[in-house]
Amino acid sequence: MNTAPRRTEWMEPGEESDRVREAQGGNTQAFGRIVRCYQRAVHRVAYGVTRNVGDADDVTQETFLRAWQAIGRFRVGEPLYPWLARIALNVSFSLLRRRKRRPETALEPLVEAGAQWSGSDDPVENAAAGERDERIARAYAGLSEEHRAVLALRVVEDLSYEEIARTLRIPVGTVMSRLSRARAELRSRLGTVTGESQ
Amino acid sequence: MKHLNADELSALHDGALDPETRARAERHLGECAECRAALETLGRLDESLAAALAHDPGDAHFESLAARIEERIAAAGAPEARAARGWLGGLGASLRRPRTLAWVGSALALVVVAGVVLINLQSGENAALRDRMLAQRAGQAAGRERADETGRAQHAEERAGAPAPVPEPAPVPAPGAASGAASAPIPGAGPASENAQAVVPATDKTRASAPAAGGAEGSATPSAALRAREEGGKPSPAQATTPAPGAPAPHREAAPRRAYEVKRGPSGEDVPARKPEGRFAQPPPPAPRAASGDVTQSAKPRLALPLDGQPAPRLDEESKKDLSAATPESTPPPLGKTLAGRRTAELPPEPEKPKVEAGAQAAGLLVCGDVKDALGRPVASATVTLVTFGRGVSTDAGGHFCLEVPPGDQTLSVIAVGYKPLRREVHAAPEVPALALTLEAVSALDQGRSGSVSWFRGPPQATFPQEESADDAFRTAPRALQAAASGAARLTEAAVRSKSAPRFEAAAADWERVRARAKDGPFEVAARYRIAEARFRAWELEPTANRAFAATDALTSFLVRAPIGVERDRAAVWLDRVRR
Repeated sequence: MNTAPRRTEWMEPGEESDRVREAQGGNTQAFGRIVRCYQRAVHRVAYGVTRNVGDADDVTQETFLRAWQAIGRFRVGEPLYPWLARIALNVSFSLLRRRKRRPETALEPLVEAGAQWSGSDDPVENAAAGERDERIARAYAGLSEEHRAVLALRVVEDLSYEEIARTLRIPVGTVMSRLSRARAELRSRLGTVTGESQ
Repeated sequence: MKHLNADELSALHDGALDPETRARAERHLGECAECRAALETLGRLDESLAAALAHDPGDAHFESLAARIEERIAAAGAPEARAARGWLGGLGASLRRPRTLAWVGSALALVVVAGVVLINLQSGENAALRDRMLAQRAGQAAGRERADETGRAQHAEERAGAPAPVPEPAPVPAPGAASGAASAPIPGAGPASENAQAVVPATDKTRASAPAAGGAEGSATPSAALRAREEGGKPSPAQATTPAPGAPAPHREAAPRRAYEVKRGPSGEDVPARKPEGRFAQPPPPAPRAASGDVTQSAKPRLALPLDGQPAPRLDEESKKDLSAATPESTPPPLGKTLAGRRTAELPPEPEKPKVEAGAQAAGLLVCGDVKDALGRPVASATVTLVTFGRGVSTDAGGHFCLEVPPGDQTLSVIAVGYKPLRREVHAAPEVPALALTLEAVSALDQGRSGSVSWFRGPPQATFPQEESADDAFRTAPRALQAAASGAARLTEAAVRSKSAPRFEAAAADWERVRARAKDGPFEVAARYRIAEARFRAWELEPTANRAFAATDALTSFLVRAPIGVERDRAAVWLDRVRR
């Protein structure tokens, strides 16, 4: 089962509360600390949804900017990341909606991803891995926003059901059923995509 | 045996089942190969999805991203302070919520609509009253004129001037002479009534509205009748044109008909000037125009003035005076004509002031000119733009252009391929001679130093005062590139200040983006120089093998493209150092 190795990059709750309080007082350095701590996680969510480094950069910037502007309304003591992830998802989806097109697929991340995960030096295998990723990404991009959000938080970010529930502001039971439907949908789309490509 | 359903499988895979369900599910898995396979499929699916959706752009990327975010946050200013949100703050915050805002907006709109409806209703009720008032004012205005002449007191009119809208038979038959007094206060009819312009008779019939000799129908207004009686039939100057006594008495509505425009009188009373339409069979065509000061325009063509007339406001005054002077002795009907005639006679083709033409409001003046290069050769196809309006034209083969320009001081911008952009302040006035605009060619030698040749355009420096952060080499770059470059330049400055190698790397990464944007353009080499510099500084501060490699790479790729100059020499020295 999934462990949560990335969680180590989150701030300690106590420190987080302190930084948030300072940021609410207008301390940009404290907020800068928050940015540096969470930007990778936010960027991952953004990239998962947009599949484009430039877009993910923009979304990350916009997310933190909005968070900064709204930090006064954040309740100290709550975990910060679900809140950030929620903003990031909203920004990402509205970016895609505005653009009315599927996310771009740049070549380099695919190649890199292939190299990273295939664990092989064989170019043929790498290429195959890249192709597989591309297929999955396309199937994922065809899902509804709800499903994409829940999958990004669970699979990419490895959040617990409670954290997902808090991020999306839905009950835990809904997270469970939505995830299972999202996976089923993804599988069936993958089947379709594969069928087409063969 | 009951299989695990999709939700359970998915939750089991995520480790999110409660202990009891989980124990049951695991027992089931032990005996059901099908469910085990399904769970395994889920695992594989997640794994490949994670692989497909994840991408780590690296530390340098995040260093520069964080720097950019911090920059934007610093620019955005302080967050909204929580403490500051009291009652008002809460209201403000709730107003920022779109839905609340929509509700408030619709409520306000409703109130406004209700208000408008109410006002309309009321004015509808008052319409009759207003008509009566109008008639009364008209009577007063006319009466005042006469009073000026005859020294009579006004109380009579005032007393008499409030007839009910419903016709009442005139109590007293008028004497034989018809008095047009109430009927024909022509605009500016008396010298004393410059402001109390009222009432242009609509038809001859109305003009002849004075009580007829017999007063048989009894339809004339009481005020008219009264005055007529008082006057004993003495015709006022304004009556000169009234038809002879005995003309058919007007219809009952005669009184309201007479007045359709009344302005503030000298004594401060005012009646809303009302549009006559609908109430008059045929509104007198020239008079309203004349009265409203448009004389300039109708008169001008007759005068055959050259397009440069005189400033509109002046003419206005002029015409008004003219009007008041003219009317008493003139015959009313063709008022416009009269005015025109008078103007022809009296007005010397006026001031040679740069005048704002009637066309000023509508079209504009035509400013023409020639665009030439330094050697006096015409520059064809140069774009001449009116900066504030964004309107532009291209020069023809002879370098000639004509551009419509609103009067006043304007800025023209001239842009042509191969020349430096030019800005020129012009004073748009009709008499302005053709402009001679000389473009300076772009020197090919400039290209050498920084690659900062403005091939196509570049905002002239006047409009973009050098911000200290903007990188010089990019000052003439297109906007987007300029912005990117100044962002990168700021990062570089920050790196210089903090003397931090990672910051230099972040700056280099940002310059890489600038370079990507400037791809193959004139600014690419400049961006490469910046990259090389940042990479070199990073290496210089904290030398590592990777940084040495990156610096060598960046320096080399700059040097192979670099034109002769200081930057190239510097880069060569740096490369030597890195290699050693």
